[in-house]
Amino acid sequence: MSTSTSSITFYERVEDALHNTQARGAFDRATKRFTTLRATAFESLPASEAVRDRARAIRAHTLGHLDQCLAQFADAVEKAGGQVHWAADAAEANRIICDIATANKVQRVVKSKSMVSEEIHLNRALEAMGLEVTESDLGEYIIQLAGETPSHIITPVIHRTKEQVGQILSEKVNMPPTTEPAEMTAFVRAKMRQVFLSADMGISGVNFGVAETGTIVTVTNEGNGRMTTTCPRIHVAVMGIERLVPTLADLSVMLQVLARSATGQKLSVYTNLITGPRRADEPDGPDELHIVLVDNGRSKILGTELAEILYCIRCGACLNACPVYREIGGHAYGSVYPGPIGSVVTPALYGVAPWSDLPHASSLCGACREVCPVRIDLPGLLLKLRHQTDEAGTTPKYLKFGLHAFRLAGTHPALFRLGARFASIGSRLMASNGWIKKLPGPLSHWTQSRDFPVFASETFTQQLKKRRAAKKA
Amino acid sequence: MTTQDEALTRIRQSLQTGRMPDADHLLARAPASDTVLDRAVLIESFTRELQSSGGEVFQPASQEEAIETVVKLIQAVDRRVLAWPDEELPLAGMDAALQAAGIRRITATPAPDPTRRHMQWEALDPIKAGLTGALAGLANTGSLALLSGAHRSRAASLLPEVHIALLPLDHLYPTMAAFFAAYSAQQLTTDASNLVFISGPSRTADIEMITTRGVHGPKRLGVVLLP
Repeated sequence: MSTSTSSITFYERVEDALHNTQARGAFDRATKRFTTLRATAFESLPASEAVRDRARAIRAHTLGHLDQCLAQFADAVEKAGGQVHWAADAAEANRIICDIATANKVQRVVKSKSMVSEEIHLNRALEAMGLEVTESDLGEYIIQLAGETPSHIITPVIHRTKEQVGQILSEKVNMPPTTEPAEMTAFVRAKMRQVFLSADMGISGVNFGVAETGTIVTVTNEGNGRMTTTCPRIHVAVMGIERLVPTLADLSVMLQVLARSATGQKLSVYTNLITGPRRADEPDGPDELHIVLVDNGRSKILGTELAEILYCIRCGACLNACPVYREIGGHAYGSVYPGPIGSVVTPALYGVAPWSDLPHASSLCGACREVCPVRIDLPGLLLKLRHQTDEAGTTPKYLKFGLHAFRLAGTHPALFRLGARFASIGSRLMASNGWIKKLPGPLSHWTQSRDFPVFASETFTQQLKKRRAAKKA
Repeated sequence: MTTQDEALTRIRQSLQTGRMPDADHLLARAPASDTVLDRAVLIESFTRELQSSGGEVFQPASQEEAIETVVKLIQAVDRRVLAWPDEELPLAGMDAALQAAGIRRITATPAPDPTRRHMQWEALDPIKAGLTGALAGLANTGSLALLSGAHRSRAASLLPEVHIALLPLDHLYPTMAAFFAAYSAQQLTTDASNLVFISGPSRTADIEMITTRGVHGPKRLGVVLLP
């Protein structure tokens, strides 16, 4: 679970991503569009900064009392007729869900988008026991057919063009050829209806759990979240243990920032609150509700310097704002959660050693912190992780060498001046059009994934001296 | 098998490290309550917001006109309607009006066993119009709040291509926070398994960010505001 799906390195994946012109264009367009939509949506929110402060305080308060909140939540779920399961790790979560399926002779499973189910690789476990599992979110459905993983936590198939999507649907499920998204959507609607209506078990994620009422909240635009949790006779909700808010009033605060940050909507089309299974006199809804509370490393993070990452509400705004994500897209990270949040949460969950490159996949520009609805200090957490990678001895040699050399020069002015002179001359010899494509020796690692700019012909000190002389004259 | 005690013990151990800041004082101050808005302002905002997410708003002048609006919306797509019963609708006389217009009313009932459950869904699925009431409307987001219950099926607002909702004007709230403040948590969660906020027809932008309506839920949402 802790390793990426491919054996190639992070830098090789980045290299591949940078050569995929079509996907780069798609990421660029989508992330910019999302960024604009988000900004507009927050303009329409009165006192938006105060709302974000409150959202952050709610998350901090909840996590500070997580044991009490979870106990209250579990009590309320059971009082409403639901069943609560505690899973220490991915394997236990999968086992619990497979056992529920076996006990109820489930054959067909329909799922609505859930990042935590991606995290525990639930589909693999269900398919291994011979179950038919269908993702119902349109984007997830398409990538499931294509055998891919999500490239964005909100719009999973953003890396594909409509022509490619049309081709996937034609090849895999015999859709009559079209490049019209509306026609594709109509085709998938009809196809998925049969799945929804005949599925024995619906599996959903959980955006928020409300401790006081035992309510779970799922947010979708397509309505697949409602279908999944209404039609099948068994509903299994998979939920990270950190996903709680204390009250319905707190929920309304979080919902003000979630959709705005994710898609730029004031509220998603369907904000679905579920409290227990169908009551005896209700005409529809599932007969059984199982809530699987997944720890999988979260309780451990709560006691570390990375605890703040648990505030995250999975809106995806930091992906859209990140200059690195915008260029390389979601797959290059190699982790289930991409972007700034992924670069923190992945090593936090699975350890820095196998994921030592991710904390470095950031320019630390701070754009992620600026858009985060709960103001997580992502750059600060990335720096802490970089420190941890160094302590674990996984800092790349070129970086250590470079930093040592820089420290030496920085503390010896004569050496610094000499170095600057050489760098200026040397860099111009190696460059074409002002950029160096390939640095020599250990420095070549730097230029593996980015070009290096040429040094100015005169150093800063030289320029300053000249300017002062000119002023005096 | 992990027990609740084991799970919570792990969390308590981590909390003892004191990594979480004390945020309780930040929450002590209640957020500014929503200013009570004038009815006309609420209607205007609700209409504008719902329309901007692709919903339609009708504001008939009388009960008769409201019934006429509903009948026309159903007739445009089907001669059947998946509807909540009259006693759950805030508009008297729907039954008689539907009969007079030759529209068959179908209400969802619980299916006793798994096989019949599939069959029941199959039977309801082809109905193209759904008719429900609404517990509340949220003016600042143009959303409806629907509460499930003994005779209030989820299916009527979910399966059909067209969902028609009847919303009395005095059920409009400025925000979700104001709506939650008007009800106790028990009222919204004890006898009902589902409370859903609906803001427009079903939509997606998963393919190249091109907006398409009617993915898994209704393609059309019509809200009839009742005087």
